[in-house]
Amino acid sequence: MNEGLDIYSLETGKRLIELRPIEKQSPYSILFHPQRDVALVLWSGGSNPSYYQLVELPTGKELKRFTLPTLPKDNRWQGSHCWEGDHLWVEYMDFSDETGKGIGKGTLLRRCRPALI
Amino acid sequence: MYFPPKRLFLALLLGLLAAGVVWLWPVRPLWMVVDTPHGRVNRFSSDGRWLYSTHMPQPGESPYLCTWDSATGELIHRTKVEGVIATPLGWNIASIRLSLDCNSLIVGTRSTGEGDIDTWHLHDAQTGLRRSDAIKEVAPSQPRIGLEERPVGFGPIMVFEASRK
Repeated sequence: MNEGLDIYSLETGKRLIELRPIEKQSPYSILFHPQRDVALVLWSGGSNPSYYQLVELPTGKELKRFTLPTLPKDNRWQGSHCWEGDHLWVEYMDFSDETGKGIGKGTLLRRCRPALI
Repeated sequence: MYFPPKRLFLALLLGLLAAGVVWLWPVRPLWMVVDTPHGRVNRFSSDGRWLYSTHMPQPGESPYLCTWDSATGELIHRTKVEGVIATPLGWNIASIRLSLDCNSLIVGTRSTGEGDIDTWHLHDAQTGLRRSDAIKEVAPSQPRIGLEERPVGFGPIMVFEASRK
């Protein structure tokens, strides 16, 4: 579990938003909307399913959240680099190893899902 | 269709000449700079006109940012990062990164002179002057600076992974 994510201003060096783990889930990645004052934060970890939280900027207020599908064992949601219209392109990593010796080949797979905004 | 032998010969000659020019054209960089101190190329300006590189200093000196004319290789400007001095072994300065808009330098240092980066400062890329307090309590990994997605609610930003320290 990571300790969270912080967003700083590149002009002043001041911290603008602080995202911290909640109930064993950590903010894993963040994606900013290209035109609107919103961002999507991917929360993962623990036994609960990973979910995306839509937050308002710069207040950090939660507007909406949606849960990602449960992945097979040794797979993990990684985040997204693409947000177009009401669709989000989310990536997950396959850490399974055919030899059963721990972290595996790290195959990068992709899944598309509407962002529901 | 009939082609006179003279024309065919001329076309063949021109073709061979063009192939020869391509074959013998020297493959080489547009320009090269040698004998620069240890450093790294950071990025091109958004219009492609300038190339930026940052350089680690000798002990007792400050790191600096070089602005190069990307067409000619001429050194246009050299900006000293003010207030950062390399220790005798030079291990206190761990990272110098240039923001996407090329206006800010993000300098990571190790206060103990070794180990992980524990402090970051912002500097103006034009003057080298420091313009932020120390940024601490962040993980030693590199910050993600001014993500390609431009957040509307902010000016340029950087994202750090937090740390318990």
